[in-house]
Amino acid sequence: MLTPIVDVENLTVQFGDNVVVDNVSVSVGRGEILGVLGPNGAGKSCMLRAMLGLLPYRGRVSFFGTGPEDKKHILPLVGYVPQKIDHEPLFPATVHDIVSMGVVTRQRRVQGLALLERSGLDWRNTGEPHTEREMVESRSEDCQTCLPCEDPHTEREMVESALETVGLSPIRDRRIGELSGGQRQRVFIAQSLVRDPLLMIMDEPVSNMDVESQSLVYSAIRQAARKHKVTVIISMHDLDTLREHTNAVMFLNRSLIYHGDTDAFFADRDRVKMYTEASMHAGGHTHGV
Amino acid sequence: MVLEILEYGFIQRALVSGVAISAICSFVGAFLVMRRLALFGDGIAHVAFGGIAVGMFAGLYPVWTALGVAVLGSIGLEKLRKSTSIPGEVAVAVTLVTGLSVGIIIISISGGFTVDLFSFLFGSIVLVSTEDMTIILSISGAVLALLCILYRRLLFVTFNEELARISGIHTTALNYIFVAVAAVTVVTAMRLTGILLITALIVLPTITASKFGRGFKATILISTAISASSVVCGIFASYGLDWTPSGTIVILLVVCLVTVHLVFAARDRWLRVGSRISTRGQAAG
Repeated sequence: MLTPIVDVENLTVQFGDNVVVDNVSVSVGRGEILGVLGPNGAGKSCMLRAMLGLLPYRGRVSFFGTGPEDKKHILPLVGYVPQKIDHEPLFPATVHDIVSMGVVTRQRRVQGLALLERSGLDWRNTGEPHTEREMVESRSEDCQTCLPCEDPHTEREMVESALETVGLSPIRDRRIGELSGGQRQRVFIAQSLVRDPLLMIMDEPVSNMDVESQSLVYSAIRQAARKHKVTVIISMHDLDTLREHTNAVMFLNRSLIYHGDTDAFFADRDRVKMYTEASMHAGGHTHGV
Repeated sequence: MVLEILEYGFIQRALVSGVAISAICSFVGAFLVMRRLALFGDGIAHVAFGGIAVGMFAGLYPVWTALGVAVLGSIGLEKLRKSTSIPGEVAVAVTLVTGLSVGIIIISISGGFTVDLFSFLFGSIVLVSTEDMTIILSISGAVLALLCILYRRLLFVTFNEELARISGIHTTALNYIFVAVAAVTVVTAMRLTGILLITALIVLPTITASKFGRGFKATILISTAISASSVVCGIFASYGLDWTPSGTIVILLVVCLVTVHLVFAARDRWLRVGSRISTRGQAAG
């Protein structure tokens, strides 16, 4: 059996007496797009943040089959898009500045990839180029490369390409504080994409976007998953989007209700109804179905 | 008259030291303000006051003891901020009063305030010796070099620490290095504005420049230009008017801040009116 990209065992997140994620176990394979579904307060964000080590948890979380001691080397291979980013409103950085931050630690990515090789994981079998020549060739024909980026020209190309992917090129020189919520979300998605991740964890990344921007982002996600075998874990509320863009579903309501194929999730009307009712009960809203 | 003033050695030393200090304060200030730690300089300056008192009491060069105590204080402040639920501004307040209290106790033991101590409290840029100037230039060079090396990582951590940590940046180590560098900057700048006005040099140019800057680098450069101009003009004005340089420099920085904000507010109002007239014109057409 292939090593899962993400392997979570008995994950529990607790604040005092309040258990917000209860004993969740899940595995995610390479190139999979896993939609994390759940009503407001179901523990989706806490679970994703705990997986990344941003919240204390009990249980075991493994990325690419590596142990917890390797997590700091592995995290540079993970792109994270939080639900909301708290920053100083006056922060004088442009869209380009923010996206460029994603390539600051390219060297750490190379170290992470080397660790995967030592662990026996064939990360190259992801559609990514092998030799330096292939890398250079692939750079000219495709936006996302795995080149360690020391050359500023190359770095600029990568940033421009990520900006274009999410439709932000025209506003690359605008200040982050001047953007709408949806535009800001696209900036953070571009920052995540520019890191050329093997795994993307996205917490309701399109919640403030218009339909056109959502479609652009989902198209980029699907392309990354299909072409580069990037694994994507994405939390969401919209059932139509879930059905259209994911191939696996994880229904969470503090504990795990369902994990499996997207089509199988929608085949069971009672399960879909259970989610809809849980969402209504939590004061949220659902779309579709 | 300007050329005549420039012939004085003490004015030359004051100008060179002042410009170097304004550059490092602007660089460090941009990061501190955007981390919502605008009063960090004030807190560390008061801790440094305790260090100066220790130096004077022990018969050591007070700037070195102030440097040591300020660096330790800044690391303590960062530890307090990170390992407890105490918010940043409260941690600064705790550090500030602790440093000041220690300083006052040591001064009272050693026989009260001296002229030297007042020069640290209110600044004494025109009293800078050649040796002082060499130290200020060396420290400023080292601080600028280190900040340039760490610039992109610091920018990422300043913008969002969680994202920076996930990207593989050692945020804890970087934060400690940064607060230590900021402490060194504050102690170096004490000769220019004194402990009581140090915040002005760190906060005001950044806030003024943030109105212009489209990017972080541009903001730092504009902030340095505003700060250095105020320092140069302040030194000349204080000589001509026989005012204290530190107060004059800070007043000039405040005037810059208010003027820039008024000009930008007027521009925004003008643009709003223009846009309303244009919309009405289109509707009528």
